Amino acid sequence: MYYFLVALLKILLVVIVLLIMVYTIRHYYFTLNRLFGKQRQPYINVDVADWPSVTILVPAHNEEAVIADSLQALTQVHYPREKLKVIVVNDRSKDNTAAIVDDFAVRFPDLIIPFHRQEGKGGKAPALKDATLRVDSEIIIVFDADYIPGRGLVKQLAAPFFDPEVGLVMGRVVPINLATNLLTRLMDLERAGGYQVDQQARMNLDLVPQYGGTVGGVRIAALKDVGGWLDDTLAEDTDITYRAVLKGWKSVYQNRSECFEEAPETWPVRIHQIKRWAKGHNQTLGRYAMQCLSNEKMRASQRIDGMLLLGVYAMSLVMLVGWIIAILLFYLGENNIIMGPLALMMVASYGAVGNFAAFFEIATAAYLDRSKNRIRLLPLNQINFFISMVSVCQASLFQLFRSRKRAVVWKKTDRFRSAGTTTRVL
Amino acid sequence: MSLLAFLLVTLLLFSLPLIPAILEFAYPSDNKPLRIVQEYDTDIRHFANGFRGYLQKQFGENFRHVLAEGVAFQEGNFADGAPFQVLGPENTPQFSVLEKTALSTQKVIISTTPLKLPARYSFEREIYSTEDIDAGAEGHYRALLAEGNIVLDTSCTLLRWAHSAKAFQAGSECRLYGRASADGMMQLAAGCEFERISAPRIIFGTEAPAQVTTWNKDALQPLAEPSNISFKYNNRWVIDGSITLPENTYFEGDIIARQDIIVGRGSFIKGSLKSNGNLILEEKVCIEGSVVSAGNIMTGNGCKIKGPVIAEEQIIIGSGNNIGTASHLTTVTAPVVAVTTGSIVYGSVWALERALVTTLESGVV
Repeated sequence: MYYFLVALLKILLVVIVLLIMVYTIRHYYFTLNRLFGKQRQPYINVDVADWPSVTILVPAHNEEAVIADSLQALTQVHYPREKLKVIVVNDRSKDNTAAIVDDFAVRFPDLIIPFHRQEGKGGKAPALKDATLRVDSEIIIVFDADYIPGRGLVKQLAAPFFDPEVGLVMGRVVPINLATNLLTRLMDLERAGGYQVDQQARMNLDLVPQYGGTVGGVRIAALKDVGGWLDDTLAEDTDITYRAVLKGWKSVYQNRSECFEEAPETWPVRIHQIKRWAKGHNQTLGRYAMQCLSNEKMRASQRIDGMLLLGVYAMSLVMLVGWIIAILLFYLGENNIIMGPLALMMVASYGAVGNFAAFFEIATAAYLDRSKNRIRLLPLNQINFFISMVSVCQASLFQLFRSRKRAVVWKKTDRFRSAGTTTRVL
Repeated sequence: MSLLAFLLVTLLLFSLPLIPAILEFAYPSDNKPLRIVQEYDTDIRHFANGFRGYLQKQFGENFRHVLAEGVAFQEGNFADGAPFQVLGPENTPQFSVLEKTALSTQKVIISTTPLKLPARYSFEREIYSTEDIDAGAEGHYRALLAEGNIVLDTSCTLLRWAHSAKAFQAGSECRLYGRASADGMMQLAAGCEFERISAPRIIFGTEAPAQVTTWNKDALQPLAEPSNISFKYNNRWVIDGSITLPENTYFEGDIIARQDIIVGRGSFIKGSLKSNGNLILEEKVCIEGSVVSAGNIMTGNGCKIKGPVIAEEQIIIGSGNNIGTASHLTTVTAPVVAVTTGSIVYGSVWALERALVTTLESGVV
């Protein structure tokens, strides 16, 4: 029995190590592609066009600290006014959000339409679902309430939809509050790696760039084709990405379509955010993994990358299990000279989970951004990675063992900005 | 003691790689957000507007009116040290002996009358005219801004940008680096090379453009559904492989092909096309939508495309094409673009590497 168990553990460890190696190779491949491969941003130079009609959705729940800055920026975007609407989805806010939104609606009646949602499920996905019923445009673009789009951003995000294959588009998220503390600086590095390298490489290689739920657009026809938003998911962005790709729509990423966001400023908020992302992502993994693997209408590379993308958060738990097995085998004296050190080395080499990227992706992103000294903080990202890994493991275990009948509960990310500070920064 | 020393040395060795991180954390030197130009709105007139703003600072808010009312000749330096020359009633710049020898000037030239620029001179700073600018052959110009027309004689080189509030014309073999735009019409002769141009109407060549083809939808055959459709939704077909549309075909919807698309002569597509390979439109094809390719796009003579036209490698536009319309401007963009004389683009042509006005005889890039 003992030898059977040990053999089983060794086999499991080999599988885990191989999985980790696959992710490591993937991250290296993306990094090298980003440095030396052909870069693709085919739609970025569409500057003049008969632009499609766009509705911008801004989901908002208790966003009085940030929403005025976002709406102010939206009133200044350069887009044909007769083809642009902004629906602010005030989802049962208990602060001054409603008053702020109504004030903007009075000042800009042709542009801003308030939707004060009083009933229905809580959360971003149900809010988007209800708001979409009020949309009569060709494209939806979603901005979270703390985002501050530049004047040309809406045109940049609309341009890919001239390609009839495109169903989803994603831009780049840039923290505006990175100077606040160590966490925000580490988040800035992490975001840079995830977008500048990881997402852009997936775009270059025609894989599956993920629609991220903000600074991104969805074609209404694609949304209808896949059955609309699902209101029982914590990651409506990942969910819609996979449903669309599985039905022949393309998801594209535009690295130069940048938008400021507010990164979490405290560790509890960050932990809460990453747990929500992990649960949502794992939920999508459970729903679409088999469909992704078996869909013969997708290219093999897209199927493989689609699976790897789905598995990024689950890999935290897998990696933790790998560590435990390796250490256990070591103390049982069952690690031979090749297995033990090699296994531990491979387990350690992955070093990243979620949609943030391995160390070398972050370093490459800093290089491409022409950032200078901030990259010196990179070793401290171990703190961020470790805390994230623990949080993701907690979330994944909770998901594995919780009752499936328990409802999905959405908890929004706390805000830290006070109104008006953003304009000073910009 | 030796244990303490060992621990201290170990701690030091582990900490050494973290010193730069700790220093950057304690004394932040690079903690500003990534620079995003919030005002950037893709407007090709960005530099022209910026230069007008620069002139406003030098001459005041109403500088255009001040200059248009007529000023005397004057020379000097702006506040930032840039030398300038305001031409009075003269319509050509005044050059020093050194400038005449070098055939070059570093002055900002400001004209209040129709401006004539001599041939073969190099103008290393911006040129502004409240009226027209007539640039002599083989001249080199950093930037031109005219409230009237701009006419470049043969073999001129534009280095950064040019904008005309009226019409812009470039003679044969001109090289337009950077951007060139007009609020009125733009005309580029054969052999011109450019990077980014924009105008409500851009005529390629000096001959009158060919008559626009018309299509009689009733005389066309509806497109039969192919057997290799992967996905189908509301007349949006995703084709697994290539597709060739026969001549004189009519289709209402979007076609996406995993490989090549060839559209037969005389066909009419009320929708958009996307090819993940190459995309070929034969003669007299009408696309009432966009044309997008991950490879190359080639159009035959007499095609009409609503636009945009987007390719990830090369676009070759045949003769007599109409891209966009007067009421619906559009964009043609690819790393390399060749447009045959006799075609019109309403809107913008943006080549990331190089674009060329070619003739039927000379072939393509």
